[in-house]
Amino acid sequence: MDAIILIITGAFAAVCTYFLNVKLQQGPVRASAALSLAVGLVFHFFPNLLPQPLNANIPIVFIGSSFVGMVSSSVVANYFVVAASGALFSLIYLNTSNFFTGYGGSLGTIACISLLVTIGLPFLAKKNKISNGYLVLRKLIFKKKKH
Amino acid sequence: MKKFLKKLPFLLLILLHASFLLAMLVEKLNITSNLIFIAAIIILVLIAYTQVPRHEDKHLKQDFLAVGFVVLGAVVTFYLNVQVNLGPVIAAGAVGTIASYVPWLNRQSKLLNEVPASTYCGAFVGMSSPNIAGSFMFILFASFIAGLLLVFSKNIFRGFGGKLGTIAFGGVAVTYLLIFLFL
Repeated sequence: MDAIILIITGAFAAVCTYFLNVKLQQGPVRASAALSLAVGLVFHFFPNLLPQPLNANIPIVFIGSSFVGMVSSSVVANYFVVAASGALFSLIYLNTSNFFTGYGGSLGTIACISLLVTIGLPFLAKKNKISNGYLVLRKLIFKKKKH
Repeated sequence: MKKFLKKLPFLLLILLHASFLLAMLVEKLNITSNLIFIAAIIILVLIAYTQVPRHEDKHLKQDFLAVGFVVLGAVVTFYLNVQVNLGPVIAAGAVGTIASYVPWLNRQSKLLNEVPASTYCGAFVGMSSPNIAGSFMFILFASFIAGLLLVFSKNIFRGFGGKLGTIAFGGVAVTYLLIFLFL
């Protein structure tokens, strides 16, 4: 149950940051930092808002996932992809190794990896990036139709 | 030689991602579902690397001033995080929010426009826990390395979320490794 809440938090944080960053044009840094500050303050002043493991983890998942939302619109232009990356961020965060615990920037590394994974998914690739083989095939079909 | 130097930051970032994923893989090697999950991630990340666009901007002397902002952001964040005891999230959020308003001082200034990203990168270094970063000297050195990495990786991963975090991770990991090896 906790894992599901954290995954939803991840997707929500990424989409919110992306919305603030791209749609409201606040820039990536302000979008991520201001939202995380707000969430961090809420959980700092109301420590008994949620049961303990969630209370400690939600601000961390939120700030880490908001790094995913810092992506520029020229790289990812789809809210679904951003949400998927945010959810994947939480999944990797839950399975991360103890070796790098406490290293500054490890959250950012997870964010970068989860974003790269969704970019690497072939069926989410941009439509204008048609491969050469597909273009040749299409030419052949259209020529045949004209005859 | 010059071509190799151009590729070096890209290889470094790949190395950082790889070491992070390998640590995950080694720790839970005996759980099959975990193994499949991480293997899928590694394959997809490798595919994504081939699609990362590269830019060809020249490095200016000005760019190296960013290193100063990285160090500043790291020290302030670490102070708020550990000495004031606010925790990493609030510390980094506060530093990032303040830094994002700096360009308002002078919109024409190119230097001031660089401030938010570099300070936020430093803030990630300052998010380190006191178990890893024992002193301010550690943070100073780690953020200096992260700043240099930030300047040299100017042309790659532009606009990718998590780029700043990976760079900060690089700074901390390299510093930790150096201390582990030589001290």
